[in-house]
Amino acid sequence: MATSSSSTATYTTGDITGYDSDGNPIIGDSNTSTSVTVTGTTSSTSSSDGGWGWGLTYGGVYGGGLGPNWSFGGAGAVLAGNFHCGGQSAIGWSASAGDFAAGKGPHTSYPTNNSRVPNFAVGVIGGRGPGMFATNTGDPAKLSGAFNSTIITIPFSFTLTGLQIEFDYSSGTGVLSVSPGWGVGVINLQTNTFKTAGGVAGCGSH
Amino acid sequence: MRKSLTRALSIWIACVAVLYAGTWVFFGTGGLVSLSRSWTIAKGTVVSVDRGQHLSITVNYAADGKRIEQVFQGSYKNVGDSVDVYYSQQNPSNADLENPEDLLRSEIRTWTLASLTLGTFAASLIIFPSLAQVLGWPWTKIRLAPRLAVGLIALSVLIGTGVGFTSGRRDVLILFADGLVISGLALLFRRAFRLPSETPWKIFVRSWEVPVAAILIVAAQFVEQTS
Repeated sequence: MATSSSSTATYTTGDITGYDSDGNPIIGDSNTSTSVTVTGTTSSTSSSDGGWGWGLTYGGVYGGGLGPNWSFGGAGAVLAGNFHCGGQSAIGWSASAGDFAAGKGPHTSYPTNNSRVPNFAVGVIGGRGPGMFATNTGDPAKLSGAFNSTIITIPFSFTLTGLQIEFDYSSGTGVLSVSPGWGVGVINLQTNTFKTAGGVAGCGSH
Repeated sequence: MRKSLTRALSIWIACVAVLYAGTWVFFGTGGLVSLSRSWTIAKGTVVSVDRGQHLSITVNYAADGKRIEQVFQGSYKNVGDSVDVYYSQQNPSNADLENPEDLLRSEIRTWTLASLTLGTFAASLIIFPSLAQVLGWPWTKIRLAPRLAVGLIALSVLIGTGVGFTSGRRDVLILFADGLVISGLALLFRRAFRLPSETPWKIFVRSWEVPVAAILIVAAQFVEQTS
């Protein structure tokens, strides 16, 4: 899954000249010559909803390489489990996928990588069996969209059977998964959660 | 018996600790800790909505005389709705739509429980390798000898380089970096295919070719960064 993309924020500085009907400050006016506009980049923030989910995951991962420009890979997974929020619980699921080749090249990944971290693989990674996941949302609809996914494979036997740990993150929404896998190395890519269903709809909606 | 119990306990503690530390590193909990120590509430207005991206909303709010438009996730609000924004006075873009103290408490509880549960599962896979063999079938039947690993890495590098080249990545420095990586890989290839196919890794790494290849590959990363 993939990014917590960056978004452009516009800051307009100036004197507060009054308040509108919603209580929002009114900054300067058309005659305020001292007002300036500063455009910068900020990470989008928020937001867990106080709910959580856990269950089983099954999927596959492949990839290999020697850094951002010399690698390719992909990952896909289905998560299904119990989602909890505000005393309610319900079954939910989601499906995600992503792939890339040559981390920094244009049009070389699905979904498009808008994050500061390029897609890359170091080492060789494959396989993935059934595993477990946990997430900090009680509503699978909040999992829909792009995530930044980092999959680390740590071998613990001579055949390089290993532990695959996956961190999927997007601005406060995280999914942690553990599965048996194969190989040794790390792969970072953008993934897209394209289908979600069930769970506690509207969990903690603000 | 006591030795195996100590080993199992050590593995379990290590797995739980690694997962818990990982949630703090990867899920950016540090920003929330900072926000939970001190925040100010502002009234914001929803100016756009994107339900397909984690139920995102863009909120316009004023923080210390600055107008900020910020994307927040996990909201069912509509355009024009009013929301409370909890922002840090030190860094107004560090903001949330929930009370940061409650949110931090909830995050810590969730990731502690997750690390304990998933850490126990991870430790079980290590302590009982036969379980990992069964769950990871058929991949776990394939022994990743140096020759196979180098072959797969070479294939990945060729695919990555080829796709990058055809998508317009033809800067001179990048081509130089490509040359460094391919040279390093050629050395690894030479080493792997001059040894018997089932040579263990500890024999494979005992050669001048391996550190030289590593230097070339690391140098390529630096060259690529400067391009």
